[in-house]
Amino acid sequence: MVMKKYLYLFVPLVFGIPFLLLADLFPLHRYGMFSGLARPEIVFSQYSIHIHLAGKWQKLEAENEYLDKNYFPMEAMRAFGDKESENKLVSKIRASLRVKPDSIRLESDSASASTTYRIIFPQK
Amino acid sequence: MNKNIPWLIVGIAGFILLFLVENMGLRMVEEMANGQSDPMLFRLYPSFPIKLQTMGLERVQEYLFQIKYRWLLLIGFTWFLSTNMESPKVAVPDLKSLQWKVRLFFGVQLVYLPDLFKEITLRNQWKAFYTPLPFFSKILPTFPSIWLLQFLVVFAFAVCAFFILSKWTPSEKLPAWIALAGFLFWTVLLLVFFGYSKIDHTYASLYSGYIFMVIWLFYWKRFPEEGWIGFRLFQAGIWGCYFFSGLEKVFLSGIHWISTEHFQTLCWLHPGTLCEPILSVPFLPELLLTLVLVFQLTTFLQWRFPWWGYVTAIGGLIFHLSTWLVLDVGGWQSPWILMLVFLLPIGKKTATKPSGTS
Repeated sequence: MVMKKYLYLFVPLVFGIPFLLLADLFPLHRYGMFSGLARPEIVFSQYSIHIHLAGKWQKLEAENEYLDKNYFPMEAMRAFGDKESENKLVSKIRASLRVKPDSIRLESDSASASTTYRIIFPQK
Repeated sequence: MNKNIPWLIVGIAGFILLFLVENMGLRMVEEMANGQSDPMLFRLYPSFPIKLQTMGLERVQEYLFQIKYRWLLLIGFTWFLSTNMESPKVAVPDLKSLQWKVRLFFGVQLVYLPDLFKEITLRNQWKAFYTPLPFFSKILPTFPSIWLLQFLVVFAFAVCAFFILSKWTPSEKLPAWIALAGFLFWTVLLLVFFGYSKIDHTYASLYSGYIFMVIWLFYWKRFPEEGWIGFRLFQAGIWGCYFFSGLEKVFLSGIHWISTEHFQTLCWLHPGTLCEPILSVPFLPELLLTLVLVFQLTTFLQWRFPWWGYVTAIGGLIFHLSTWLVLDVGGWQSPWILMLVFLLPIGKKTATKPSGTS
């Protein structure tokens, strides 16, 4: 009987701790199920990473929905205009690609950004 | 003494305690919003500044303010589980039927392990970007070797093979421990899967079910006559995903969740082909969102009325197919859909509860 009482507690424990403390912890949650109207416009969707390969510019894509639509734009937004972050981003991109790009640039459609694109590799 | 009094005491005492520390939390958040950051809070919750930026100070404070009410709700929920466990309406599945349900669960995993591995292999190429969520980074600070991940997938397959092919009985030690090992393999694989700043909910109900499956098997080993209790918990692990998701919607957005504007937001985030036609019909978005909320908030009824499993399973199927067709989220092959099978109150039942249960 005591064992059973412990078991009753298990469901609230597993779900309850996130429910009490951590819910909606992750602002980049893809589905937006928890947020309703609380979710504002996702600003990083206005940013993108482009690479220059075989003589033409193309958008950096991993053929993965999350990485392409959320993660790379977010990385671009975070790095945009910050020299140190831009350098880190260049290293990550070059480490991930088998064929190394000639150039890498960040683009922004954001009205608040002072420039619409920044060449982050090669460094001027 | 009335058996409900301890529940009442725990509920009220927790409420008062949370009420007393509430101001401290509100002050910390305000300081953070004003740039007077608390390093401890940053360490615990590094993405909090983003949250503050996206939600705004007022909503974050509102969220903190809600915690004491969430506590009351949780205590009420636990009370509900406790008082309805021995419901006379609960038919007890027989041993063979329960064993087949366990086998089926491991069979379901076999369907999804290859896809999970495919996703992880893809992430391996982009491992330079690996940035696990704050808590997970303590467990897996760097992207593990792909060889290790391959081994883990093979081990997870082996666990499934054990449950499907061998003649195990619940009174043995082995099944419970093997299930625990399988659970740990899945945990590592999912931590890697989550290693790009986000939680992915693709396997949420499967993983939640797995947590309770391990508990179920250990309990079943200790009390061989009462395997059905563990099965009910396993079911709670599945319907609980919907129930708590529904509660979050109510707590975070309230009545605003059911509005055309919210449907528009969802469509903007996940543009699907059916978005425009639905938005063009008056009140249809509100109706659909209301149905989702009602479906999720009523899933807990299965604990009291097992036949509600039919409602949840059919409702869940429609829900997942709809999110796929309308919002292009998930798909027909979603593991969530297969997990709904376990909510169906089917399988051979014993006429009465086994002795030893009240």
